[in-house]
Amino acid sequence: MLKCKEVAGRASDYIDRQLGWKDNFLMYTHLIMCAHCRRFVKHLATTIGVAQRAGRRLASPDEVDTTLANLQGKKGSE
Amino acid sequence: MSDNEIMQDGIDLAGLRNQDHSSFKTLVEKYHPQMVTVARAIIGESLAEEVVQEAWVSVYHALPSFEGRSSVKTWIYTIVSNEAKTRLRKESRLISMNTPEEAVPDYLGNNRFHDNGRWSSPPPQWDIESPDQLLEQQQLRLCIEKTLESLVPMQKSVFLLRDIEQLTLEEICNILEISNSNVRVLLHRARLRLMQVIDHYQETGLC
Repeated sequence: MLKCKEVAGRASDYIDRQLGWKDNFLMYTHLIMCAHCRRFVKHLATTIGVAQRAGRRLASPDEVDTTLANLQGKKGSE
Repeated sequence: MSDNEIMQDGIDLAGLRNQDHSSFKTLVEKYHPQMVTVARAIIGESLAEEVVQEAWVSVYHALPSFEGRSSVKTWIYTIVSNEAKTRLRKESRLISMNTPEEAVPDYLGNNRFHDNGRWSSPPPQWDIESPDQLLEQQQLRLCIEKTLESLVPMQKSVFLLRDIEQLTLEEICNILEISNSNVRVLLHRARLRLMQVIDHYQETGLC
């Protein structure tokens, strides 16, 4: 039987389906019985969802211009 | 030709292979910051931008021969990773990669659990549970963006490649040259750091 600390440590692997069938089953049975750990795993999954939506940044116009100018300079020197 | 061979992630592949300016510019717009993140994880802050500029030149020259065996993003992340590793080998005597971990309380530190492994300080109830509703909170959105920027480079890189770019663990291992177990540990730590921020915001309304 897993302890809550172990469940918390493996929660990412559980969400990502990286555990073997035995560890997966142990996680599953603990989560059936432990409301605190169910909440923890649910919050972790939500956090992943939030970060996926918020985490991507596009290049600024300056960054794009610098890159294209650098490429043009390299092409010019060939 | 399938749709996947024509457009990928909003990018015109045929245009890219023809080194079309507009298609290449779109590629730079989409991936430049992420390439800097990957380069930074390998070679450190001071040389990352320079390495990425060199990588873009390599990408441009290799575009006509891009066969599509991997996705475009995996391909360009591999190129920038190789450029960074090559540069690192040349300058390893001069570069210190000892980026100190930020001194942030560990979300799963010992004060969260009793000695028997059960929660002593369990996760608090959240008032807002859906990702979209959470992101409507402008202040929280800024907190998350700021926290992502402050992650240590390797954590940030793993998080970016896995949770945002959806690369496989094997691809990430190859790009960053770290083990599967190391990727998973770094990913979990990055996610916990973000969860800590959301916890705090839910309780206090502040970053």
